[in-house]
Amino acid sequence: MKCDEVRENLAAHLDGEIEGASRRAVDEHLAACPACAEELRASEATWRLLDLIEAPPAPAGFDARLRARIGDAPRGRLLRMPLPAAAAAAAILAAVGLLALRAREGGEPPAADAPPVPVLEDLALLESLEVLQAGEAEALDRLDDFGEDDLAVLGG
Amino acid sequence: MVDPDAALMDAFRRGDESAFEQLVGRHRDRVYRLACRYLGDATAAEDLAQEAFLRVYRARTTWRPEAKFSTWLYRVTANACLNELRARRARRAVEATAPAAPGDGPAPEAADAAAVDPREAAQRAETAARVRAAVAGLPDDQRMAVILSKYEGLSYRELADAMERSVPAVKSLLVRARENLRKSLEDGR
Repeated sequence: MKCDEVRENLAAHLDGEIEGASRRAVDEHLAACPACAEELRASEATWRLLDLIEAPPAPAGFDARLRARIGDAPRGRLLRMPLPAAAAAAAILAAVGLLALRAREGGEPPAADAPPVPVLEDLALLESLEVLQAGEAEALDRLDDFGEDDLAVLGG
Repeated sequence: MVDPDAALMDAFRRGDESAFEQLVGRHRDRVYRLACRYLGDATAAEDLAQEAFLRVYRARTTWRPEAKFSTWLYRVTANACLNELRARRARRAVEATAPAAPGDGPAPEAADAAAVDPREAAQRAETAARVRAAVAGLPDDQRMAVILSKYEGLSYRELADAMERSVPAVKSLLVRARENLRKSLEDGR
């Protein structure tokens, strides 16, 4: 095994990701090549320096804030419905829309001052239906996106 | 072997809200630490960690146990981190002349309260700052690979799943990352 190939495998060697004959070949090269052995030592020392970057555990109150955020997540009424209710609501909306369309096609074009076809007004009626009040399963949420030697290395 | 997280996710899918709370309890610290180390900003890290769990909450009906839950959660968190970085860069491009926001400060220092020698503590803090700067200077994907490998102990296979890369690609990322870290730290002497 040549130096270039060994150096491409040093990280995997240190991470315990190569085994068997490949690992033995790297070990044999390292035993005979001071330059690659020094590379290994330096890489190992650099990696240990990363221990200096600590991170605290999640702050107190994390769960409560998460729970509040789940409760506050902006979702429309339709998105809070379980799937059967949502499907029923979608069917009613479609039927209302279709009726409105037919009414429009079957008659004279509406005059400019004619009242609007009451599709949107029917949403209030829909919201009053019992089926829309059931549960918090957010079935339609599926539509959402889902996305001290070591110091020597530094001369310290 | 049964993934206990998968069992919890299944219970959550069937309506057991306490299963979600258990999942949060099992993973909140690692998700938060990952975000904290990646973003270098404790405030943003909490926001992002909560965003990751919100996605878990929303995904309960669509999640399938194709990978270990924890690996999937790392993927969700990693993607959220990368998106946050992109958004920050976009904001900075627009607000190039605005003063830094309070939340843009560095991550909490390594705890040094126990150090007795002030000079040693100061040197350690200085070294930690240099190491943190070296990690922050890595390309996004190398930094994520380093954090997931070094601090979370993911194998190359798990890294590949979490980062949606091949195992050879992950191996190469870590080779480059180690080289860049060493060079950066040596140059900073």
